[in-house]
Amino acid sequence: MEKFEKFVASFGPLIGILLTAVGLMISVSNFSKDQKSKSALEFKRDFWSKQSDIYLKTSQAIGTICAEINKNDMEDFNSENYLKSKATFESLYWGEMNFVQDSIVIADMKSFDQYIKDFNPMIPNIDYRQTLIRLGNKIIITCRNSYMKSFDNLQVETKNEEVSPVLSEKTTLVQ
Amino acid sequence: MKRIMILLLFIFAVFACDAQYNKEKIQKLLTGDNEKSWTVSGINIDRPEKKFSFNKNNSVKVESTKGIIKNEKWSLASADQIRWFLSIGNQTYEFIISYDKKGNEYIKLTHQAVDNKTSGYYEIKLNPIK
Repeated sequence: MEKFEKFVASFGPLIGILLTAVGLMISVSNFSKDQKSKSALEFKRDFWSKQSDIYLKTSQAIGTICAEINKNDMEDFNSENYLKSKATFESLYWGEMNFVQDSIVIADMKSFDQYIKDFNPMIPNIDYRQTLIRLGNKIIITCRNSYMKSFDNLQVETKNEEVSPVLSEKTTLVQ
Repeated sequence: MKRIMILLLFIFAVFACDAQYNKEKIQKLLTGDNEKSWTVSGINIDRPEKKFSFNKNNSVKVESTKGIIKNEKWSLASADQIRWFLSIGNQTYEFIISYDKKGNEYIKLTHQAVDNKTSGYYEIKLNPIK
């Protein structure tokens, strides 16, 4: 018994220091993990927001092109509007869309790009016009689906994270 | 009479909304009444094929630069009835009907070896021989 008391008296402070150090290390490690998942989630949310922005811009450009092509009276056709939207679409296709890299969206956009490149808006052939309009609509739906898929993935990943108070607050915000 | 006119207008609108190229229309364009010939020119590439003659029986004569004639099979396919793909022998092209600035109809075939924007990509133009 005396031996034990002696041991505690001499090593007690050391054990105390060691336990404090271990506690500190665990806290630092947990904090670092939280920070990492927090930044990963912030990055994903930022990416998702950029993706939605690109998809919206693409949809707007395609929408204007289709609206112009869909006009029955050629006198109503606004060439300036059409050419401006065509340029916007091509710039998005060759530029910002690569940032998103959804293969289905890219494949449909590639096809639309091939159609629009040589498209002659002065041709009244309804099949010719409707093909481009349908393709345009298809891309908008594909963009929407891709956007929703990213949102679902973001939610699943958020749920899978260990729910710390900060993260759970973020999840509520996203939802 | 008024009702009949409205009904006719409605039927026309339904047909107009449903207008698009389908397999029959594309086949008719490619083969004409029975066989139709097309001159081939590479848009962004020099291709050995110089003439295609498409027949209704799904055979195609491919004439090359040196006058060599090869008999192949052709077929059309589409997954969504919007984008059409034409296979000639073992090559598959996306089939695009287009018009030049003068309003003349032509066919643009785009070939892609790899699924990205530029690798192995080329376009050829088919003009009908009248």
